[in-house]
Amino acid sequence: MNHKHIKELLPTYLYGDLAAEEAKEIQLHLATCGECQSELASLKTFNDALSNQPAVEITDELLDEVRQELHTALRREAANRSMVERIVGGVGKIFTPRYQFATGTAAALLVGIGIGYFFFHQTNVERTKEAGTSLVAETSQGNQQPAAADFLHGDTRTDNLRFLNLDPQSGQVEFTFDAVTPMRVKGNVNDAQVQKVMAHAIVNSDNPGVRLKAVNALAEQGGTDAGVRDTDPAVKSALITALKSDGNPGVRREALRALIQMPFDKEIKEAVLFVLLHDKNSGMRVAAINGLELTSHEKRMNDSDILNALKKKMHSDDNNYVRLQARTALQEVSQ
Amino acid sequence: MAPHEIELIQKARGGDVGAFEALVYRYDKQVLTIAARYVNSSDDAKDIYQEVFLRVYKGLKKFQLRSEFSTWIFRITTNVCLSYHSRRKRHAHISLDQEQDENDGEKSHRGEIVSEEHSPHRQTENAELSVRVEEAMNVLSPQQKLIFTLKHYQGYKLNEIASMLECSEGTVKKQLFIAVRRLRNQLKEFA
Repeated sequence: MNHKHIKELLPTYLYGDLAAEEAKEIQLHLATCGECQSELASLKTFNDALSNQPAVEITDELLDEVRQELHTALRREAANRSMVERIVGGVGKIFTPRYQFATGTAAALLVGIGIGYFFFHQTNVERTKEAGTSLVAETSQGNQQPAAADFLHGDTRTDNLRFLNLDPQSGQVEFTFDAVTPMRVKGNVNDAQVQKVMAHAIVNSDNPGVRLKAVNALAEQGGTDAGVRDTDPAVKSALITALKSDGNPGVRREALRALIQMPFDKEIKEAVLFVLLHDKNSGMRVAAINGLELTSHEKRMNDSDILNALKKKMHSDDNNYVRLQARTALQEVSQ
Repeated sequence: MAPHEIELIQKARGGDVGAFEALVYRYDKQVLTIAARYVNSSDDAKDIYQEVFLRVYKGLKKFQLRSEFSTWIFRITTNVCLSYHSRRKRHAHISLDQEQDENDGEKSHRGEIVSEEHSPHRQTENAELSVRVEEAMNVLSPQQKLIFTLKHYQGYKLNEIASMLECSEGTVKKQLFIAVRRLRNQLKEFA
């Protein structure tokens, strides 16, 4: 290696990240080259100065915050993906076959709390998914073009109609529109499909009242034998999402109530501990302690994660009542 | 790759979000640290974090199990960091142009940004150093900045950086040398 090459390698040499042979060659060169010695000393001073630069601290709180945001984004992504798959694959199996054949018209799309599907006629129209939420209905060539009204039925709402083509001479038109059909479902909350719609609403509805009712329905049923036995993992997952990240404390509390009634596994334990350690609402932290106490008869309170979290809260929570509750819970365990 | 990791990947591919989280929580602090050091802002780091893991989630089905999962995550992290830099740059250009229209081009807008960063809120010695270093870093290309950050502040090895950036170790050494030289030119008071 010549002088120039060695000089280029000095920053890497200083970081101690060169192969042994390269490092040895540089050491030999340094022993006889004043310029490189001085360069190395200067580089070291520079590196030390830069190392004093304050960095953004990655605290546990920051990490929890980004994980919580990611958690919500992932659930939404998973729900959207599932929705698209269901639309493409023919979700109709859940609610729609009867309507599909009866109406024989345009498509339906599930939105909002997840209720509402586009319907379309399989023989006269051809569907194309567009931008995830809009389905294009294209009239078939030639005879028996259905009138616009035939695409619709009941309370179907249309929106966003856009003309792609309008030929006054032939009378041919081509347009797209969004159609949303309200659905009415009556069934048992233990029904897997009903639970899925509830779960979707819990994660995706903008309306806290809807989220609360959906969580509440699942919580009420959770205590029954059927509820405990039949809970879908997707429902549990939605409840955990609500517990950890819903902005409404009422929804979080109901989600906690529902989860505590389920078999107490690692996921639920982590979610309840998350609330105990991070929920800003002291009432929720107390509810988390109470929820954990409910499991004490099965000796789950002896779990070291739970004990450590309670000890932490007993000593450092800024709310007196939470500290007291944590102390009481720990005392009960030790008896 | 550890069998447990493969199992988690397979579950995550099947739509198990919990498995996905268990999988990425092994590396997410490192990702956040890289991002925070690169952009020197917790808010921007949070954006990068989320984009990285959403990309990982969406791309999981295409991930080849014969590769190291961690390498793949860090490769995505560096890609998001590099593109984040250019997106911000574009955004900054737009903002500057808009501001120029409003002010009829009377001022140097880059100067305005710099003076804002030198606001009285940043008068402590460390904060001043931070601002100076940040300004100097902006002279580097995104790749040089990332290489310097990964090496200097986070101590990754050359071969690890090369793997993340999908380039040769020789390129990393060369870019590191250029980065250090440029930084020293910008920060002569420390050199």
